[in-house]
Amino acid sequence: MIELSRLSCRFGDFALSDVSLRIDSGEYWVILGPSGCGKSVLLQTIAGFFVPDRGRVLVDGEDLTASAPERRGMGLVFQQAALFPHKSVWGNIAYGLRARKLPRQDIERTVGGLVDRLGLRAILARPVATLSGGEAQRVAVARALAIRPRLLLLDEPMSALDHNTRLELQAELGQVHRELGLTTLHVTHSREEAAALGDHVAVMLGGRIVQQGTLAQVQAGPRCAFVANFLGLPASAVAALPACSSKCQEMAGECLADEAS
Amino acid sequence: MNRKWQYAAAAILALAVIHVAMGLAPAPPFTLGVNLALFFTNLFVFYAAATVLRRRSGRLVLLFVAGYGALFVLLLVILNRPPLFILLVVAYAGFFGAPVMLGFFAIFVLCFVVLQPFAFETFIPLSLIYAVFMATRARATLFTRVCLGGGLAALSVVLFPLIHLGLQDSLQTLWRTFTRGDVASAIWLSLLTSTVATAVLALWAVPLAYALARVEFAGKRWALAIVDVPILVPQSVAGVALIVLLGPGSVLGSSLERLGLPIAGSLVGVVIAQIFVASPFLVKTAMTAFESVPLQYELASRNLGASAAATFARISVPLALRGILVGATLAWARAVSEFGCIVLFASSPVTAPVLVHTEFLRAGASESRPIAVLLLVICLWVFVMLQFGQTLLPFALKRQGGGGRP
Repeated sequence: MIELSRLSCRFGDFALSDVSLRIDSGEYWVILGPSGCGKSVLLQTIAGFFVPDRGRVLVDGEDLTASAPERRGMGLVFQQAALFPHKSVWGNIAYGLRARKLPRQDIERTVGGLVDRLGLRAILARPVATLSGGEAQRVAVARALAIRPRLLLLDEPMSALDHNTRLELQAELGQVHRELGLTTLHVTHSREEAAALGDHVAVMLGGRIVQQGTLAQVQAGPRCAFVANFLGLPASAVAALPACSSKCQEMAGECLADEAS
Repeated sequence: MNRKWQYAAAAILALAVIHVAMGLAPAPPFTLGVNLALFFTNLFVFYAAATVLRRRSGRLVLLFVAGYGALFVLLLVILNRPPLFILLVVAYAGFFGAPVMLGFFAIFVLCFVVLQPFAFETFIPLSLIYAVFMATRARATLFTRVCLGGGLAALSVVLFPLIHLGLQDSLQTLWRTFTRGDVASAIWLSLLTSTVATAVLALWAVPLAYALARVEFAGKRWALAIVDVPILVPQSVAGVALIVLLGPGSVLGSSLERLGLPIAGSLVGVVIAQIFVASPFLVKTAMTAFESVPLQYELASRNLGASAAATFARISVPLALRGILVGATLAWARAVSEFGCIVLFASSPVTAPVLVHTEFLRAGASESRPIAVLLLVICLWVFVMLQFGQTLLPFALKRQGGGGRP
């Protein structure tokens, strides 16, 4: 179980304010929001690249707020794969296991299993610079899965891919999640991805979570026009909702629905 | 078809008439042999001119005749050297079809006939400049070409003394100098100490460069300026500074000497002086190299469980390796060339630059010259090898390196 309590931090133009989230084991959460809403900063804060000014990150009751990224056991998939260019596909997937100084046979077995699961056998010997976007992203997923992460973090993993490749990877991610039951936090600005993969969603704007819950709950009862618009609900559903303040539209995080409630 | 042959026959006849007339003139300008050779040379020129004519470009023919005229005036009328004329005219007529070769030929004539005393020294840079100039392709505007050609020409003027020096001594003289005991040991000592200095320097300069590239802190600008101080400080000042701190009379120097570790005038002293002057080159170059490694790779590595130190060793250094090696090469070159600081602080054991200096003081320029040439040639050779060696590294990091975009 992962618990974020009242996370706040400021980093350049991006900021988080009072982000709280509870993710139970095995759930697939999608953080949904327009670019610049702070969702990537949230993910990187959870991964340990930023130390929050306030708030805590708890994993299974253990406070990880100040621990180093390498001690968190979280697998992060970057938007642009970020495969190590000087290592082979195999070397990339095995990187985390080698860093843990596991015995050679264990590494072989784990990497072999992932290679088969994600269908990477054919590209194993290729230099990573020659991989297509979809292939690179599948290798990046395998690399993150290899360390058996407590939490899988996906930072817009499909936004750099073309439509068909995106659909394939989407299906593959869904299958991996069903088979391994990994707790997953997936950041995206695409409501199609959210609808296809997430059992839970949290909609973010201006560094705050505007609404969170199961996908069905949020779709059935959006709390404001922004959420409804962002989820692509029909205009008739939007009309009845409280409109958004100008500050909210500037993503300064001032919601009329907050004042109403 | 027949017409052409008639023209050719007429031209050959006219040529023969001219040469016979020259031979029968009251004071023949050439002996019979030379006249014959010139006749056959001109026959060949006619043949070459015919191939030019076939392209039906009047301007080209005019150019051909002008080039021939220039060689004629220069070599026969002014210099009166028929053999050279024959040689060069044959080459000229042969090269005329290939403009690139013709350019080299023009430079050759210019250097070996006009600039005779500095023939090699001028031919090498000029032909290099010409080659670079010809190699510029699309997107080279006239402006950039002029910048390139002018800049390279100016550079070769700056480096002219070196090229001139390098051509002063015969290989035999150089070998005899090299087999002199003191020269060989001084050169080996120079190569050895600068290699050791570069290795010791790399131990702390590479981590420092990494930190400077990755960490933001108050006063970073000052830290960067301090890194550059050894470039600014005159070498003699650095030498005096080291003597004051570590020299025989100083507190630190004499106590180290009592411990059996004299610094000034020892190998350690040479290495210290070399590290002092060479450090900015490695730090600054390696820092730029680390800055060009995308941060994302390091974050990915940490995320996968590698500590910050392991990330440095397995990701940052391999990806910045090329730049680090460039910096190490520069630092090595700077260490080899160091003279002013060493001559004050550690003038024995004698390194090669110091030896050149003492030989100059003892016996003048002509005695120190072969040593200087040797040092120049050896250092240049090692430097070129190091620079070339970097291109053999297994991979080059692409700037945007997302690692696998289509």
